[in-house]
Amino acid sequence: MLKFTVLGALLTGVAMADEPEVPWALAEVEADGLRAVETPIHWPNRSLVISGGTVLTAAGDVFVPGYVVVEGGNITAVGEGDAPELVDAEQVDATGRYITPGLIDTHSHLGVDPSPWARAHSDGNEATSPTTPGVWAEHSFWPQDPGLQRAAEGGVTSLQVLPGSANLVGGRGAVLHMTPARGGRAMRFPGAPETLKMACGENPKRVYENSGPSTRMGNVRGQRRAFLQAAEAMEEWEDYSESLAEFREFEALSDKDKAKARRREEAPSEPDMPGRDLDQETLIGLLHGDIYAQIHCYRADDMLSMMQMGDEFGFKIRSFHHAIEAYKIRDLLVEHDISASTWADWWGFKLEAYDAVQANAAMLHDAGGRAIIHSDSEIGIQRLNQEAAKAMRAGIAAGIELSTNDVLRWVTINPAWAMGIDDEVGTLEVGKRADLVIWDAHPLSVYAHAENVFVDGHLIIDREQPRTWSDFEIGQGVH
Amino acid sequence: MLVLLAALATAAPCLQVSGEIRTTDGVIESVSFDPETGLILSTSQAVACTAIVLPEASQGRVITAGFVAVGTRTGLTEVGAVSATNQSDAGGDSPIRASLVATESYNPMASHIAVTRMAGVTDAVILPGGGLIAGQGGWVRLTGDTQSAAVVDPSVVMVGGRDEHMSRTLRLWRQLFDDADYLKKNRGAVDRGTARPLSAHPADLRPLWPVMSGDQPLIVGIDRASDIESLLTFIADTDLSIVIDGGAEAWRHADALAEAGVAVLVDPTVFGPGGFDQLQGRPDNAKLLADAGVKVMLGHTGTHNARLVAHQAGIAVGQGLSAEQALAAVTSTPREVFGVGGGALTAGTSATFVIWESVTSEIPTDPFEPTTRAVAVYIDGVAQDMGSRQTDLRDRYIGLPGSPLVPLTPQ
Repeated sequence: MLKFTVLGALLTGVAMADEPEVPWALAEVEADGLRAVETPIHWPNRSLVISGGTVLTAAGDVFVPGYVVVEGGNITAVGEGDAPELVDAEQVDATGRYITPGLIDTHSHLGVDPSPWARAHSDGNEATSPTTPGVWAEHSFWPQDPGLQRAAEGGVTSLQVLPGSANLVGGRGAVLHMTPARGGRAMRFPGAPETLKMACGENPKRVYENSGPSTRMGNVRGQRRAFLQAAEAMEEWEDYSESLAEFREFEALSDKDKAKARRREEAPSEPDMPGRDLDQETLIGLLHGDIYAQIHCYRADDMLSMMQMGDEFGFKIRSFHHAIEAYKIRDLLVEHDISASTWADWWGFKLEAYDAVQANAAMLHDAGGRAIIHSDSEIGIQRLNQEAAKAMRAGIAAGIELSTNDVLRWVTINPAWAMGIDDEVGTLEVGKRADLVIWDAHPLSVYAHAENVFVDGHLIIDREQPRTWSDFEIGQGVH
Repeated sequence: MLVLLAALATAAPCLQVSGEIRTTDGVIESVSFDPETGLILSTSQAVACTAIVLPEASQGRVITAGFVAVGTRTGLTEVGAVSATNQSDAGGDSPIRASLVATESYNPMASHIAVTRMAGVTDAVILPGGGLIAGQGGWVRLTGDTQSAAVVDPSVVMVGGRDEHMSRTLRLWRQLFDDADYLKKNRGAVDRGTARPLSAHPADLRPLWPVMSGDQPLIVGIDRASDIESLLTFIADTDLSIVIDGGAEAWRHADALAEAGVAVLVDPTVFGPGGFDQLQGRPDNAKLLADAGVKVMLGHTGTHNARLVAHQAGIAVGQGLSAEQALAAVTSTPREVFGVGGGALTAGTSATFVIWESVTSEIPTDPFEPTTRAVAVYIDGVAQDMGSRQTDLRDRYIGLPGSPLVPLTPQ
């Protein structure tokens, strides 16, 4: 079970339910590594009333015409008909247009394998060892990747940037909000949990063919070994957390009580912190429930191996990525509450992608699962809505009933859930961040353009006010 | 197939499909064809023919000619990363492989062929890869169990690979064409073994003759505007007929390309900074080229997803290309460029067409929409099976959960 997030613990000191008094010492230590140099700029929030268009909430409601009211960066009203009056609010007439939540991608390498392609900044795979949990995608992330602007122009407002799949344990992902900044840290989605990229199947065994692992069984051994070690190291941190809590309790006593405790030989000494180890700390975070597992896996049997390992070591898998064969085990994915992030139609490029069916997402959805359409591509992320539309077409062709709302969820609230930000974004509901898109046509149409894209109620894309985000594109004779 | 048999049973002389038939010359209302010859008899509704029977439509239907996927490895591979299944590249062989004929490796049983066909793609121009001259690309029809049924023309284009440097590429071309020319003029010396050394085996030089005379196009992958300019300068003194594969920055030379009769196979998803040779790429590249009169084709879908031709066309239209220009780009233009003919659903041409229908009442039927699907595909007048390995796998699992291998009942 998820006990608490690293950031949640840092901010509030909320302790886990089963051990109420003991703060998790590792989270305190990690705070130093997570401290910001560049903090996001908090632009003044203007109130906004968008009305007249079709509001697709992705929460089940479709309002025609509908309105969305934004105050303080959050949605404060959404509904059908005439919008409530709001003094001093900016009025946006969306008549004839469609309003959806901002799109969310669980699987991107923007910034870590950026455009234009060049080895010089292709920093997505630390392919020097099969197990590198201590690396963070954030530290490879180049915020000048021109692909970011293109993704935003396609309506994307949150994304998970992941290390590549060369490694069994590839490193931490970065859950980002589309708030351009000079470094990746300021783009972190506020309060989002840390994530960890793992991989099974062909890629790791191909990359490490000579040094090992060179087989699927070698892959799984490598991962289990890593978790065995991490489980031991976690015990040290648990003991330390308890001792530290006792010591702090003692330190907080009055001098008189301290003296009393010393006389009774009950005074604890300050415990020694376990040695720092970046690789272990990430794995411990996963085992402890603070970090969400995101596993690259194609074949059904590979996914089952990973689920077994999750059960063995007590960690939750939040999403299988690519998950070409999710349809074969959709009952088990539903049972384990694991989402599948897949494509509409990519297949056949390698053997583990051979059994693809286009109705994959729809079949998982139909079984009650969480289907997600991801991009894994600087091209695909520009058209997630169209990718979802293709997956819808295949589902309906297979006889599965699907509404636009259902399909929209594959690129909004479901990916938000996989990244642990579903309380914040992913639907147009009161209290959520005002991340939304105004489309000039039905969002599942190939002809729809994201005319306006808002993040936290701020207009980040306006087709009528084109501008260049990336420094790289400045002075190249483009536009 | 059932449809066809039903038609024959009533001894109808011909079959007719009616509806909103979109052609590059506008909308027509019916096409009548002879199922025996596979040829269109008439586009007049007055002709008495048996209407083809289709399931009831819940949305409006649109009919178009079959789409063409240009520049794929269709039939030359089964699984991308499994080298044993790949026959598209002669590998470490000589870099000059003009006598290589890609369709000789064409496997009509490759599983992606049905996957591609049921998405409304009826034809493909398949190209070999690698080397400086990769070999001859051919035109295949995505039906039939044999090469002889599928291969329409084994040699419609010569594939020019390229070196990283444009200047080096053109230098090598000069040497190559000079050698091919020498061979033509000195056949006797070559046969006698008294000729000068040649850069390739004579068998690999001879197929360059129709290229040099402009009878067969040469396709070359090139993106950067300055490289395109060099190419245009190079061909000005030759009879070469060029097809540019890619042409991310081609819009910058749109008029010159139109003037030189160079066709361009555009990838409408190129967004500019994807590569250093694409920095000035624009989403409306296809539109700018087509408006200037350049023969534009749309593609770059890869092989397994050659079915995405329709989506690529939709993307291009979303970025400014007209629907008519896009339809031509995926039907008649490839046929014109590669000399195969047809694709316009006119009398005397092949009855190769697709019936499209939207899956949702919220978005109208439009072949380029991701919400529209092909409900029937006819190739040479024959209704095609609308299943594939993918739909078979889907159907094997759709009634579950559980393993599909339930115990058998003893008999």
